Amino acid sequence: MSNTPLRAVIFSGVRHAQNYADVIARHPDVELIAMHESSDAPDWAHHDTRSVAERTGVPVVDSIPDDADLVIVCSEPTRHAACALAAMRAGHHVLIDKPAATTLADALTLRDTSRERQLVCTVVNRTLLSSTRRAKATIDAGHIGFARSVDVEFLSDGAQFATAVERPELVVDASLSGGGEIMNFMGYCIDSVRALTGCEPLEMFGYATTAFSELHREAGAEDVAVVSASFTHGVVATITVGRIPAAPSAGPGASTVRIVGSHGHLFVDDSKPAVSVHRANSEDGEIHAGPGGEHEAVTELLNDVVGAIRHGSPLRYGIDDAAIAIAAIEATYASIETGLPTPVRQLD
Amino acid sequence: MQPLNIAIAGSGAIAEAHLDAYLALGDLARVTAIVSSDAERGRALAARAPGARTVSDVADVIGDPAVDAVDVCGHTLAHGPVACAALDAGKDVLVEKPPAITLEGFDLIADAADRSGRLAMVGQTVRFQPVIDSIIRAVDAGEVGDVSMVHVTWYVAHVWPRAWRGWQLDSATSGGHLIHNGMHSIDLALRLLDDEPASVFTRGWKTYSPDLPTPDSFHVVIKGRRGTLAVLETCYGLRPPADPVRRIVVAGSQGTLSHSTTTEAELVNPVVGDTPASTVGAMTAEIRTWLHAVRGEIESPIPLAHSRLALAAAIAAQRSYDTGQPVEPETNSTTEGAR
Repeated sequence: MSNTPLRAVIFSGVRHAQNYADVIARHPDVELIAMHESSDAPDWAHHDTRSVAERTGVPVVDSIPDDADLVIVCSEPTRHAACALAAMRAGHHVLIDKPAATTLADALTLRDTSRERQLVCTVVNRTLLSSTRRAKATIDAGHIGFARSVDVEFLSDGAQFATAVERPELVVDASLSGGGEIMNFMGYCIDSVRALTGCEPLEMFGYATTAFSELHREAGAEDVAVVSASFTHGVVATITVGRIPAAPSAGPGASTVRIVGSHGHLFVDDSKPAVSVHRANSEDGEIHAGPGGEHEAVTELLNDVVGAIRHGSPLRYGIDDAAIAIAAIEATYASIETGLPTPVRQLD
Repeated sequence: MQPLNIAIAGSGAIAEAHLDAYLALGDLARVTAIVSSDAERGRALAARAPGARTVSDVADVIGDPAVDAVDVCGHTLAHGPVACAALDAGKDVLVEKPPAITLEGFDLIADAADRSGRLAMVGQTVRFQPVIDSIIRAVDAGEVGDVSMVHVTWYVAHVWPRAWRGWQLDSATSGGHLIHNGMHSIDLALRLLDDEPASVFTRGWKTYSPDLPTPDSFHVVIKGRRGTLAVLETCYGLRPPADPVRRIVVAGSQGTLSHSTTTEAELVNPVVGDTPASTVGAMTAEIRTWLHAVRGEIESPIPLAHSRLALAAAIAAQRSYDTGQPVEPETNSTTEGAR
């Protein structure tokens, strides 16, 4: 295969599509050639897709070109699986916005389809951030011994809700989002524990509440949750996830991990290192130093996709991983529903 | 102002920390007796307090009209009987946490305080740490609005003097680690949330020795009756000594308070250990506050009702660890003094 850029199509331009288009524009090995939306998608989805196309300077196409190398699915979460499945059935590799699917059954269909058709199927995640990779390397080098406990916190800043999420209903309306902030964010936390420890989720117990956001309350969606989890080999974890009015970070969210090992401990803060800014108007803040954040995560993921499509290189994160995260999310929701610890379905 | 005459019941590490605090407070109080079953250790502590005597029977100080107040340290199982006897004898009481390992035992203390009209305060030292005091004041002042979620990560070393002796390891005498040490962060969370615990779930782990009869470390998740949430992770297994790592996030309707000792980590000596600036002086502040409350100059900042809720949640957390199931704490007290 030549080294010409991969020809990418964004399938449905809602939610984070503009962010991904911006990353692609800076990526030397991927070229965005078009936007596409399903004919039966709602009008607002078509509108959003056209908006991204106009801002990005690419056409909106009625069907995905046969010669597209990669389809990036950026629809509302409840449509992720259907869009990705349609793309794979047409023979395209896919990269899906998180969550890959809003049910485990759909995630497994995606996984099985990618296996059968030998197509790349991966999902936006944060395990490829340099902060997590460095922490993993430290743990793998043996510096903290055997990991015993992981404390993961992912808190998004509610003050950014109206702007960071173009349509808040994509998060709070279960018919579009598949759930509340557990569905939205908890996959990151499961991914993190798995990436750092190499252990798999076994049992989840969670409490959720709607404490801060009127939008969430009106929609009946949780805005925060605390979760106790057990993983294989005796590893335990806590997960604090959701959207609060002001995340404990200078940026749009706080993503931190604390790990206790048998012979040491380790902390990860996705927003550090940073440069502190002290402004005359008192609006102090921080500038992320070096690579980091969502752009780094997507860039790294695109690097993997390019390697997998061109050279058959293994993905560092794929639909198999995403399916495990969704299994844990389903178990957490079941636990909240029943009030009992709930086993995570073990996947083959 | 005459100093209050204090008898310290106990001569272990905590009793010694209390003695240090009294000595630092100068004329506010005078330690006149150390009650110790270990005569040598009792004499060693008494020797540091001018004029103090050593006795082996707590009845000697409870029956002594010259003793104004009793500071109850020692093994947890002794807390209740000593506190009750002292209260019934008209003494004010400071009782170390946990005050008891059962709610029935706690309610006996509350009943004794109620009928004697004397002050009983549980030594929740954490409340008096500088950073915790600041967080509580900020929350009470409405800095972040209504608090609905608290996340406390608290890792300390396994090197604690006399921390791993038989009575602490035996849940029959300590109540278990969730009660013995879990009460610290549980009390803090409930105070900040201003809520009663509705359900508690716990997992624990043993950092070094699989033969430990109780986990050296654990996490507790709590749901409050008003829908508030807390996640509390406690580790007594770090290799460096002292009290090196704590992170607190308090999320409210108008903002968030956060603290991390990592911003002061350079103060921690990796060899001998040191006390971070965010925690230093807590015991002295606790004793000072109790003494002023005994004098009637201030209200106790730790009502027995707070301590009962924290103990109820800690007992539930221990039961959750033991059973692997969520547990609803018994928060309804029929005791006047604990309400």
